[in-house]
Order: sequence, then structure tokens, then C-alpha cells
Amino acid sequence: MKKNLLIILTIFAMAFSLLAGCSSDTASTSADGKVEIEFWYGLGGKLGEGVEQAIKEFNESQDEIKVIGVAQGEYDETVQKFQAAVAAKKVPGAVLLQNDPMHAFAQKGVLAPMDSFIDKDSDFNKDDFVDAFFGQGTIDGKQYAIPMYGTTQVMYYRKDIFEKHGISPDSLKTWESVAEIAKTIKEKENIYGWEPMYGPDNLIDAALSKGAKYLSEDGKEVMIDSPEWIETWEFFRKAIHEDKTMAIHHGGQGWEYWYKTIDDVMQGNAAGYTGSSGDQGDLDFSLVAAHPQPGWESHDAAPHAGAMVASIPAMATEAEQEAAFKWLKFFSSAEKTAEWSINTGYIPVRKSAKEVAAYKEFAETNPQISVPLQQAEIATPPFVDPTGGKIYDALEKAADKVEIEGKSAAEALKEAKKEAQRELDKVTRGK
Amino acid sequence: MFYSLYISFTDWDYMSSDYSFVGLGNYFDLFGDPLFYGVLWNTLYFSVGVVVPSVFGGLLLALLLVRKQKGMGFYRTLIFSPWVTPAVAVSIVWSWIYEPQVGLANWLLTSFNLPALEWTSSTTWAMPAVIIVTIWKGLGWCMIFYLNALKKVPQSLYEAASLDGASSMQRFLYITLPLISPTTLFLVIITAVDALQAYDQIQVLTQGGPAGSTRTILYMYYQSAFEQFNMGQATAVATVLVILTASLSLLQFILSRKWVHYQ
Repeated sequence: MKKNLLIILTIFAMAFSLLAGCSSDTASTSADGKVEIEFWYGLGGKLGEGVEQAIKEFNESQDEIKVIGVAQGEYDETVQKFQAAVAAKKVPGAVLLQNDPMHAFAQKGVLAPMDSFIDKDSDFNKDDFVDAFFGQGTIDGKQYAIPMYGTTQVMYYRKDIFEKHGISPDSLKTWESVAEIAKTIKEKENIYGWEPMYGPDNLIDAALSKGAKYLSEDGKEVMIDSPEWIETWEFFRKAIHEDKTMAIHHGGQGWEYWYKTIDDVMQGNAAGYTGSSGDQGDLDFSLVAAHPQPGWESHDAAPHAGAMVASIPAMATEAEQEAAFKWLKFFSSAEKTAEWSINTGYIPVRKSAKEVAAYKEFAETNPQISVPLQQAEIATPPFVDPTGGKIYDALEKAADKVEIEGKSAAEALKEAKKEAQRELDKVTRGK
Repeated sequence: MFYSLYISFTDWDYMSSDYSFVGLGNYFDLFGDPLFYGVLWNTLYFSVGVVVPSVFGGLLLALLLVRKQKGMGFYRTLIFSPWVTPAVAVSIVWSWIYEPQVGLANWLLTSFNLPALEWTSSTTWAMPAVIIVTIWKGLGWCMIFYLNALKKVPQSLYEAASLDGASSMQRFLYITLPLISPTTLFLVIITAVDALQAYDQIQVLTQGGPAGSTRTILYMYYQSAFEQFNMGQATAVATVLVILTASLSLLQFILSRKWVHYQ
């Protein structure tokens, strides 16, 4: 019996040490003199195929660099693998990251600033990038990441149901009138008027559109229990739990709740929903249309829009960094970003993508494609959580209480603020 | 293991080669954090909730199925089958059962005139829901061990006791229970260790929610290590988990001297 326990403890200890060990040799010069670099990305399915296709095109377009794509299951997995790779000092040439981990890596000095490459490259034209996206990679005046594709949440509504009741799409301009529409539709059709997407994101977007702030000016106080936040969240709680004009799907495996929400709208159980720009690949636009997110009567819309960005590890050699930069420049070029947008619905990262012939042509028959881009130009850039995710985590829990359990927004957000403030204090202590 | 203990005294981020020694700082942070007590409570709630019914239920089933009658093999297989099914698959099926509107669980409750529950959507019921799935999965496994143990109890002892006029209850209490106690000890430890490390079913059924009500200590480890790049803090969490596991086992060994009988 004692042996058993010992074995368990040993396995435990081994599991920790193993975490650090997995990585591969990633950068070298191949026999034919090309610089070989790996590009790590956490995408599968159609998106993964898209990346591989772009890599193939890039490799064929020149004969100095060979990019090898390495796919992980999801974004978080890339972060873990990259962490291990840095620890093992065997890094890829470039890596696709979400905003928060990119900031954390940059602040730890793990990423290489790309300014020298950008300055040297006369046809890179950084002013052509959508500001909200490019600015994401700028930290303390240095460029640590280049946006690859953008995403934001927009409104998708059923054209037939709106027409039937004489509702103009213009009434999607304020949340007050969205509530009115939802009420009308509930009364006349007995279906849900609107379905926000599960999780805090939609609630945060709506709060920001009311002028809400995450932190005080000096960055020392968490503001998530201000009246703007509480009124907004209470608005959704009331619609979901009292009026029952809105509903949310939650839980299940992976993206299950997401597709349940989409299904509800496609099958006519709801008149519309708030979803990602990336949903456009799955939607049938003979039935639905897209609209930017509303503001409030007292305030313009300011929802989040963010980009997935790519960075170059500081540990890569000069030659590898240069090669990686060329690859990232290729993938974020107007033509490529337009093509990616057409195929996936994600937002192009360059303003000039609108002028690309293929994009123009596509937008004429598919006007929804330009809605997310339109929204991105007025959007709030992603929030960089100084606590490494604890403020967002507190909001996530509060959203569960409000959306799923119907608890009062004031109560849920006050608790969240307390939790978040404690974490923020830990970070600001001594500064 | 000593190395990971050492890391828990540092602020290492798992990547850079330089880090500083913070002594017990990580532990003070941890024990000063109300969130930690939340996950600690969830972990204990889950572990106790799983271990006790699994072990007792396994014994009960084994007693029912130990007799040599037709069809027993079929029942045994049926009860054991959840154990060999991957936790992820099991949990997906259960997430359908728990569906509040059309799920089987609420259909059963309402057909007995009981109120329907929100199951995984409520902070009160999410944990019991995960516990039920875990018990259901582990019950057959405990049963198999007990079946084996019950068969090893010498028939001669029962016969002698019967001759002395012992009732079936007395035979169970004074012969069966003591003789299968090594199995009980083994099962309690293994299911407890298993419960402390449960992850798959929680991830699929509730993702730690709603509102963090099913987050266990392992979840906190993951968050610190991979979301906040705080390997020092994470190993501190892991060390607490190891100490918890070890002291649990130690406690059982000490207690077992009193009631475990080896033949």
C-alpha cells in the first residue's frame, strides 16, 4: 500500500517536470540555403487550411525563406507550447497570439520589437492598418505584434421577421429600441426577440457603449460597479429573466452554446442574435442580415474590436526574425487579408483591403462583410488586464450570476468589483 | 518534486532564466486569498461527495451481485461499463441528461411530481450534478474490487458463525466488513486521490461555472501557470494539493491501524 502512494506522488512530480520538456528544434537553415522558420498557430478546420494555403503561396513566391506551419488545437495551447519553448530556448520564428498573452510575453521581454524591420521596409505602410488593430501591438512605443485578422461582435437579424412586422433595421441603432423590438416580436410571434451571446463579452460591449470604464484614470481603481455597468447589465437581466424577451444559451461542450444560439435564429425561434464577425461563414444571408452593435440614446456605440496578432520571439536569430517578418508582412498584406476576410468573415486588418478587386466584388453581393469592418473603425481596443486576467475572470463570474441565475446586476458587479480590486491592489502595491 | 517545491518559493514565470526568491510569499498570497478558500471548499465538497457514495454504493452493489445467479454477469458488465467509457464522452451524454427543458433528469423529477432543477445552470446544483456523474462512473469500479474481496472471505467462517447462532447482520458486521477492510482502505484512498485530480467531467459539464461554483484546486493551478504566467504561485497551489493528498492518505493509514484487518 505504501508503495502505491509513493508511485502516485512520483507520477505527480514527474508530470510537473515533463511540462517543461516538450519542444522541438524549430529553426535552422535547410540544405538549399533557405532560412527555415516555423509558424505556430492555434487554428483548425477551414481556418487552418487557409493558413496552410497562404504558407504554400508564400513559399512558392520566393526562394529565400521556407515557412513551416505548426498547428495547435486552440489559441491557449499555442500559449502553453510557446511558454515551454521559451523555457527550453528553442523557439519558432513567429507565433499567432491573442491580445492578453501577447502583452504578457512582450512585458517579459520574450518578444522582439519589429520597429527596425518596419522602418527598413518602405512598402510596409503601417498607416494602412486599421488603427484599433495595429495599436494593439504597440507597447511603450514599440511594435511587438502585427495584426493578422480582426474580430468583433455584431448584430445578426432575421430579415423576414423584421419585414413582417414593419420593423426598420435602423431600430438596431440603440439598445432602448432593441428592447422595444424584442417586446413587439415576443408579443406577436411568441419567439425571443433577441439572443445575446453567453458570457460577459456582450454585456461588456453594451456597457462600454454607455460610457463605462474598466479602470479609473490613475489605473488604481476598478470601476466595474459604476452606474453605467450596473444599468446595462440590469437591462439584460430584466429582458432575460423578467420580460423573457431575450434568452441565452450556455454550457455544453466547446462551442455548443454558440451554435445553439445561431440555430435558434436560423430556425426562427429568435429574431436575431449578437455574434462574431467570424460567424459569417456559417450563416445563410438570404435569411439574415448584419448590423453594427447599438449604442444608447445618450451615448454612441463603442464595442470592443480586437485582432489576433502575430509576434516574433526575441530568442530567434536575426536571420530568422527577418524571415518571420517577411512572412507576417505577406499574410497581412491587403490582398491576403481581403482573401482571408472573404473566406472566414473575420475583419481585414488593412483599410486598403476595401479597394482589393475581389473584396469589392464580394461586398457588392454580400454587404454583411463590411459591417464588422465599419464597426472596427469606431471600436474600443481590447482591454489589457493589469492583473493578468483576474478582472475579466471576476466579470465572467458576475455574468454567470446575471445571465444564468438572474441575480441582480448591482449585487453581482459589486462582488466582482471587490474581487477584482483586491487583485489590482496586489499589482499596484509598491508602485 | 523538491525542485517544484523550490519553485514555489520563487516568482519564476516559467520562461526567463532569472527569477527572485520570494520565500513564503506565494503561500502567504494564497492563504490570504478568499478565492483560494473557495476552490479549496469546492475541492473538499467534491471529494467527500464522491468518495463516500462511491465506496458504499460499490459495496452495496457487490453484495447484491456476488451471488451466483443467472444474469449476474450481465448486470456486473452493465454497472462497470461507465468506468471504461472516456470521461469526456460520459460527460457529454450527461450534459444532455441535465438539459433543464428537455433533459431526462428533469423529466424523471417532474414525473414523480418533484420540482425540476436547473442542474448545471445553478450555483447550488452544479456541484451535485458533477458529483452524480463521477459517482455513476466510478461505482462499477469499486464494485469489481468488492466482488473480488467478498469472494475471498472464507466460507468456513460464515458456517462457523451460523453454527454459533449469528444473524446475517451480525455475520456481515463481524466477518465480512473486517475481512474486506483492506479493499475499503484501498478504494477510499484511490477514489479520494482521483477526486482531487478530477478535471475532464468538470470541464465538459460546467467549465468550472456557473460563477466559479465548480472550480477545484486543479483549475486554480492551471490559471496561475498558463494564464497568469505565475509558475511560482502555481507550484504553491500544486504543493498544497500534494500535501492535501498525502495528509489524507496518512490520516487513513493511521486510522486504518484500528480497523483494517489483513488476513
